[in-house]
Amino acid sequence: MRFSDVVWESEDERALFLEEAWDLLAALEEGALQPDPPMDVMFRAAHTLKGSGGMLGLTEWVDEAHRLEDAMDRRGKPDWMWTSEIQQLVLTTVDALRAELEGRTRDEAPALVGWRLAWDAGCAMPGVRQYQAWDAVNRAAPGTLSDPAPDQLAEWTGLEGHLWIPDGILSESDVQQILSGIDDLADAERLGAPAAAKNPEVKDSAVPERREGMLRIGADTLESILEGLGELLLDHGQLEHLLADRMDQKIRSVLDHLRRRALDLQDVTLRARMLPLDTLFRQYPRAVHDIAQKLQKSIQLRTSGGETELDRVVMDRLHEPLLHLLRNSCDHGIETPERRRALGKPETGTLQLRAYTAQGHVHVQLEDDGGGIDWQKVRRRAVSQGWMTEEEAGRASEDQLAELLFRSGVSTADTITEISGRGVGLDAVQAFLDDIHGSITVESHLGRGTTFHLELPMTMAIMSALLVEAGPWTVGFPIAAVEHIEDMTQSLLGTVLGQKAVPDADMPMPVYSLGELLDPAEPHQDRYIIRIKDGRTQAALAVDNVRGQQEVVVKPVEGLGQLTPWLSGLALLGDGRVALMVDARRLVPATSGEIVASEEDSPVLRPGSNQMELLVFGLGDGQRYGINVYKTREVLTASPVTRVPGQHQWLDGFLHIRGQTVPVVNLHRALGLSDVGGTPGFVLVAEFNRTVQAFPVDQVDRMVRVGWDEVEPLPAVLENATSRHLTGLVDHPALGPIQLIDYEQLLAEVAPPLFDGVAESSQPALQGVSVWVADDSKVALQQIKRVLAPLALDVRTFANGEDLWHALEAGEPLPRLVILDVEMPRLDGYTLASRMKAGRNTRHVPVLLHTSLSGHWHADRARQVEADAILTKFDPALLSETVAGLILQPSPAQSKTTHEEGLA
Amino acid sequence: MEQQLLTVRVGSYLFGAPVSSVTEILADTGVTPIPRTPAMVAGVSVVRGQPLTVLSLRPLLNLPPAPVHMALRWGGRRSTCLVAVDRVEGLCTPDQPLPPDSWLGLVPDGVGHWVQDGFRWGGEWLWAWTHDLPDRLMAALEQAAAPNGREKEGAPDAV
Amino acid sequence: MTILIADDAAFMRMRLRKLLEEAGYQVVEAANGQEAVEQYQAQHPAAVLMDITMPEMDGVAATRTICQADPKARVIMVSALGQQAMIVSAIQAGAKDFVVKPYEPERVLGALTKWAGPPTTD
Repeated sequence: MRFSDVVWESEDERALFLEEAWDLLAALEEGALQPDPPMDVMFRAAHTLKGSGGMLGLTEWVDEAHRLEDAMDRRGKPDWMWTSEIQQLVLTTVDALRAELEGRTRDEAPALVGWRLAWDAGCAMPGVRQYQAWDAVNRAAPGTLSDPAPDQLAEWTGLEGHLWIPDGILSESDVQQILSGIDDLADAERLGAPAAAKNPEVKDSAVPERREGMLRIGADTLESILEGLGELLLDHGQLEHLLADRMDQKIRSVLDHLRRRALDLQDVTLRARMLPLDTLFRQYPRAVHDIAQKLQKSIQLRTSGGETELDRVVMDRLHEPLLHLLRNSCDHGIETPERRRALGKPETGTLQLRAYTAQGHVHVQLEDDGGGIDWQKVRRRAVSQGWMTEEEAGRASEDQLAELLFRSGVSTADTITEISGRGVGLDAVQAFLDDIHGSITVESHLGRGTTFHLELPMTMAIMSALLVEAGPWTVGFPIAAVEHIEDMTQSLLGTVLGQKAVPDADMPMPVYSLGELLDPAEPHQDRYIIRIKDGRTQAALAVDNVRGQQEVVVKPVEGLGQLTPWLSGLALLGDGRVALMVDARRLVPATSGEIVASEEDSPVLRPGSNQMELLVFGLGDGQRYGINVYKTREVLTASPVTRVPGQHQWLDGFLHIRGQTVPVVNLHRALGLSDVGGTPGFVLVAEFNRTVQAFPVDQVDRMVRVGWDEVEPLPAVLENATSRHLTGLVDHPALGPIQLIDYEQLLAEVAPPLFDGVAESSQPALQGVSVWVADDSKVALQQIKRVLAPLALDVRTFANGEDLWHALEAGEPLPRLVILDVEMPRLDGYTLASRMKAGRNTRHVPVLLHTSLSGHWHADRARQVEADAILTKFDPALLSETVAGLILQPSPAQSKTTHEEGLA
Repeated sequence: MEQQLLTVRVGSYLFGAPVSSVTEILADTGVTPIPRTPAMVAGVSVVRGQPLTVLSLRPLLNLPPAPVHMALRWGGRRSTCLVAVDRVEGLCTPDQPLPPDSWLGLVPDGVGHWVQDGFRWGGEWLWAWTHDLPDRLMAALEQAAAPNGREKEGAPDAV
Repeated sequence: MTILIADDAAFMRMRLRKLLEEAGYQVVEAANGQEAVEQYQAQHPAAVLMDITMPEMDGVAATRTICQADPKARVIMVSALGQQAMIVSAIQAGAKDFVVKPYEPERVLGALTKWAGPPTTD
């Protein structure tokens, strides 16, 4: 006899049997998946199942249970072992018994008979009639399905519906008999042959009810309670508003009490909507086991933090994406047992699923100890799909590459397997997270494993919001994301790279006008600045007005689809208006405190291209000044400086930056500019000649790319005046004249280099040897000459590269060594060096690049142009030594054969 | 196939909405415009606590924008939205639709994608909407918005 | 045979009473959901004609209460057009059928006959 044939004495009896059976089956399944199965518990479970089934006369049931019991019976078997065969038997039996309880024959979907019901055209409420028809038939034949589904009938106004009735319970005339009792039915017709289960599918709810002696309550009911509470709070808000003039102590106290009670109730109800993540996690070990079997791999899943609670609505939707991530890790992450053995890893791969709450979010982490993501493959894929150029792919960080993974079409699997690898799953995960305003990050180490990290909002219904006004709109932000509010007139607003910015800790944060971002056509008046910090995004938004904090009910907007990813929902306000709940992350342009790259198309400067990038800044005197970007380390907000007695008159003082003491050079004084008053908002920190200096500036404009050939050295007639501290002038098409400051000159005055360690006497081989030096800084030339003087070399100086090149071309006797500054007007050191190495006559002359730009990448570039040596200014001892070394080399360096791999 | 239509006016056009698709007629629900949306999205209306998108066909018909006073609620409990109209006229069950060649030139480009049939009714043209009018409109909008991330205004050319 | 009429509009109650009495039923009245529950418990009518919208306790809630106490109760809802969702709720709460306002007398009497039986002298 089958379970579905049993005639019960009472509904209670049936319920009790079911409950017990489910529990026992769950215990068997859980136990079987553990590394050390609790055999006593499992044996007893099988035994009990056998007994109860026997009581009801369920013959097949008893057979299955008995087989299971036998397999787990260790009595009289001293060498009994738990094997994977036994494990599989347990799982298969559990599946079969479950199927039995659900009335299904093994592997067979129930056969359903379809009926078409046509309702009278004059029927006032066909939805109700269809519901009545379904209800009546379902009572006689449980498992009847209706199309449209019963929960959709409240709104249904169609005139033709269907019923799918399980076969074998009711005859055709039975059904007609039942249906005859329903009014307004024009026609009822049985359709063709029995079909296998059709739509609508009975969805396997991923969120089973709790069965712990509690009341069952539908999600809809909770929803309406929450809605009611939300409206209660709105009413409270209105009351406050209406009673504003008549407010007294008593009324105030009642209003406050009302609000507290409502908030408490809200809290309690929201928590009722929360379920522990275990509800989902419970199913996964089995799922992973099955997947692993299919893939012929050995994988185990460990979970922790399952007691973390999450809104059931969110959890429901999390199931699919999380399952996909698990599949993904099993398929692509964990290697085959052979491979793992070869790598010295344990044969069984481990997946770790962890959950915890932090900062109002629920975090779920999935970590595997598999092969990790091959970022090179992702790079190649990105290039082949046309998403990135090779250069961009080479420079892309792992974070940026990780983002690509979640785009459809990306899969680094070589073959698409049945499990996953179509590459369409991860983008669905991303879409799900976008929908609920969560996020995902990936961390991976090749050979060691990958970790997916999901961040989910804890709840989505009611939130405390900060309301602001921008243009004609009221906009809301979750209060937890708002860090700071300030009046614009009182804030230290400056300009960085053409964008308004405010100081934030020690970095400038760009300020965007919210009204402008929403609709530039609508008038708005920025008066306040709101600082938002939401996960990784930080932004400052300028708004017209701040309305204050309010509890709001946030609802998603039906029908907008994907058009407004920045709108996380609509908040209903007490006065009948609505507020736009904005996801700042999606509205604000990508923000970062670092200097944004220049607007030019190809961001990579090739050495030898005779170009450089200038950071243009202002000192408040209406002029523009420039500094080589590679000298600039960062832009900070102005902070108090420490004065030191006896410091140079050009210094404002000293700053401490990350443990370093940095002199702050006041350019107004150094350049002889009249002090324009006011406090500069920002400080440029520059690094060259092995030192770090800071320059207060009023304004940091932007970066421009400039060719050295566009830089004019200053006319001789001006050189004596205040412009002695300038090396050149660039006339930029958009910005006008930009003056290049001679920092070395400044530095030489403020912090002269120490000339010790320099060789005091020359070697005979060096005497009279010709050395040419090119440097646009007179000070630098002086310093170099001073270093080389003891070596008794014949030093010839040039003010720029072009002059030196002309001298070479003019056929003058070649020098034994050239020392080239890198930054020079007309022709920079790299380009000049390339030319020399390319020229037949000049290629054997050693080139020493002497640069104020520090950093090891310069060494790379130097190698690229095949310079013989590169030195950072200004180390007198090292310079002297290197010069001597290069001249005294047995044979001059020919073109090197070492090949460096370029970025291409 | 004869269908009962709810006749409505938008500008000088007479349209017919399949009665089975319209669940409610709403008046003066108050529309809040949403920034950064195409002209066709007039905004959002809150109906019995639920925010619903309000679509206006005026940009697609080359009509100037106008305040929304009347709207048809389209669709069931899930995926529902409001379609703005100027006036609701009545019910009718027209027969004998005329072939598209005879009337496609009379409506602006692209309208043909969501107009199913054209009829002569009471001395003027009556255009019957497809039963999934909002879906088609939204699909075209999303397609237009997706490729380069910028929203495009105006009529969708292809569906 | 007694029928309970629950409606907050006195006029509606009068109309229905006239219809039912002329057909041969006995009638008791209730003006709101709460009264309906009380009258049901006191009078044990054969059927109830329950209006959906009433003060104190609406028709759906009253139906639920009555049907929970007496699973064999026969409640027929009376509602206006546009209340389909509530009717479905009422049926889920235990109501057996419904008629729409403005009602056709045959429909009302037909429903009563079907669920409660033809009028008899009790």
